Amino acid sequence: MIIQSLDDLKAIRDAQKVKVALRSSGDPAPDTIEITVGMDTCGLQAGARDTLRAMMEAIEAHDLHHVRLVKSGCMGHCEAEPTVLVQLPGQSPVLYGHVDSQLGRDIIEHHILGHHVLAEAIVLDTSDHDRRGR
Amino acid sequence: MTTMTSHILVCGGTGCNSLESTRLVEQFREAVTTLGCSDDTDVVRTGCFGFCGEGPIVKILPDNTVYVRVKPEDAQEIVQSHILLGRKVERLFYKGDGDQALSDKDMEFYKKQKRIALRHCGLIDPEQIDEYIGFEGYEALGKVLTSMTPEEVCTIVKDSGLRGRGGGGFPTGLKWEITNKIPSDQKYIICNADEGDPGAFMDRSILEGDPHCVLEAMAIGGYAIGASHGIIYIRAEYPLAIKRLEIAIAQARSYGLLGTSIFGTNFAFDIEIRYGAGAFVCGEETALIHSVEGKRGEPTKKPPFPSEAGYKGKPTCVNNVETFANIAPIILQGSAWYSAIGTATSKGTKVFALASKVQNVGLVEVPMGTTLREIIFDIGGGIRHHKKFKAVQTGGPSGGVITTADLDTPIDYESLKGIGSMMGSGGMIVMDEDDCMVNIAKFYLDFTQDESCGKCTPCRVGTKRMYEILDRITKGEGTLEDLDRLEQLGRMIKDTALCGLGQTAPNPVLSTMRFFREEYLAHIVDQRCPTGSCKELSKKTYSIDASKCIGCTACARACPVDCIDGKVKKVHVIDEAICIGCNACFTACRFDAVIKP
Ligand SMILES: Cc1cc2nc3c(=O)[nH]c(=O)nc-3n(C[C@H](O)[C@H](O)[C@H](O)COP(=O)(O)O)c2cc1C
Ligand code: SF4
Repeated sequence: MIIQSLDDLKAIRDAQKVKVALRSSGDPAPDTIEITVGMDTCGLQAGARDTLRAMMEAIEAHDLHHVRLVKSGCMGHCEAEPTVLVQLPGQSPVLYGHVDSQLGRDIIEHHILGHHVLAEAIVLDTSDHDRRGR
Repeated sequence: MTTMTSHILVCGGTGCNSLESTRLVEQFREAVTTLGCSDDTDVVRTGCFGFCGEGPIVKILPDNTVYVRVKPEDAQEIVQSHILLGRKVERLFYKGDGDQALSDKDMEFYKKQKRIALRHCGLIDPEQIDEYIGFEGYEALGKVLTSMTPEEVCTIVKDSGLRGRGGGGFPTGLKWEITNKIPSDQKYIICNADEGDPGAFMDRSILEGDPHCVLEAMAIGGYAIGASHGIIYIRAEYPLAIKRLEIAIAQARSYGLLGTSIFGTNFAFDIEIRYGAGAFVCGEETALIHSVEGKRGEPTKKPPFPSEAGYKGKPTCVNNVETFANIAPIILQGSAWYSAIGTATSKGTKVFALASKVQNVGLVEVPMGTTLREIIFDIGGGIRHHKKFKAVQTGGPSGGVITTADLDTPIDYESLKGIGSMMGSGGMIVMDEDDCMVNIAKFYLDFTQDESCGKCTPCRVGTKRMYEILDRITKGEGTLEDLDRLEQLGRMIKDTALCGLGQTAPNPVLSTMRFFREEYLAHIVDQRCPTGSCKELSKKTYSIDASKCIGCTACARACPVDCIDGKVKKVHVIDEAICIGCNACFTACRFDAVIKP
């Protein structure tokens, strides 16, 4: 392919966007939202890989640049795997349990984009230390 | 499209490569395949991360974990544990001063750095043009060709305050403007990738880690001065950089970013690679041009400057690799952004290659105006083995030593000159209490007298005489008159040599004589090398302190010439007639019983 214009160049650049976002997120900006997916044996057993992938795709679909998706070890709520921890800047972290692909997408759409918490899926909300395990 | 949720970045620079990073990449690829995560884990071979002393370096994204000294055998564990289970492999963390650093943002090594020239090193796969484009690659070229005149390009580079990083520090925009203004049917732009300064590897790392940034800048420069032909002059001793450049040129051609009607305009530009045989003098621009022309690599006098009559007698602009690496960011982010970084006279950043006795050997990029103390102690982690700092040599064989007294000087072109050294290309050799300054001066003079092209007498004969005098002094055969002779010769060579090589060759001698005269005197008057580095002088005087020796036999076992005698738990004795003064016993003894001269 021959690049004839800046638009042609931009097309190639756009195709690289996700990769770039992930690489650059190594350098988190202050407004970065961090989502941690528990990926230990217990989480994987319960389908954490599918959750992770679904959330990644949702982040990509909504073109979110300030979200950092991180894998972690067990977060200590093995009974509620897969677990996902959402941390908005300046707010206390919220831990969701039993997050399947659909719930993963919902978290992106409702919690991250819509700013409303999915109360029924919360395992641990550190703001009021209220345990509502399902 | 599959989505990559993790990236494993493996350093593929020459340093890490020599530590099996190629096999490491293979092992990672194999591990992600066998462990079933190849569809969402990207294994990328990048350019240099700069933290060469701890290589091979592996960085995991998005959580930004840095692993050091990773061996091919570790790949499986990293994938199994970190990628699949999210458990970091703590045993591979960097443990600088005992505390464990997880991400590069926490590492002192990266905290004070500002990466412009090295912006993509360790971030992208240098063999994939799409990754470069993903990080705004070739946008500056597109912008320049579609919306700026050549004069505007010269002006923005001039306003940025960028100065040549090859050593001279000449304003780049001005050089472009001068070459632009000279009318000619053909002009040339040359990238100087000779990098002959011993201990320097900035340019190599840029070419290995981000070859496209140099190609793009050369095309921009070509447009600015009116050249359609670019030449990269690189030493044949840089095979990896050459390979990456070849790949990059082929990829740029296939996208039409090199060739005719670039970005649909009528600008045509192409680049060829020419190989140098690795002579230091061929880095000097007139010698370089002769070498490219197929003639002997000898300098000629300036004027005429290459900008008037260079390659094939046509106006030619020679710029350094690192100089080029700064161009695209200046075009995209503006001259005001760039000139806000640095000091009054020197703008932007400078890449330094930290080498020798410093803890973190590697590549660092800092804003101009950073102090040497910050570079050596904060970023470099101080001196290895808790020894005492003695001096640092900047400017390579053309520069001088800088001592503790000047460590807090904010570095730029002028300040370094002010304290008797120079910026040079960016090599920084750190020396500790064990280094003999006469020996260091002798090392550099040995280099220059060997590299002198022989064209003019002061340099050809003068540097040889200086070397011989230094050699005498290190053998205890020097006289006090030798010091005057060195000074006289040095000043004469500086004043009369034809090119920069000769004109700067005496600097290491003159500066060590200025700051460490007592060390020269010790060699001449006391017949003693204070650090024990000069073998001939230290020969007779190694001995063992009978009151401290416990007879552990460590020294006897370490001695390469078997000149230490003694039974277990009995005091040992050194046979001075056989001793070669290698210092091995001194290092081996844990009871301070070996007395060093
Ligand atoms: C002996 C000698 C060796 C040099 N070696 C190099 C070199 O290896 N790389 C380099 O870029 N410039 C080197 N230079 C400087 C070049 O002559 C020239 O000034 C430089 O390439 C110009 O590019 P810049 O303005 O971008 O720095 C050397 C100069 C001398 C006198
Ligand atoms: S100064 Fe030395 S290197 Fe330069 S031209 Fe003269 S002899 Fe050659």
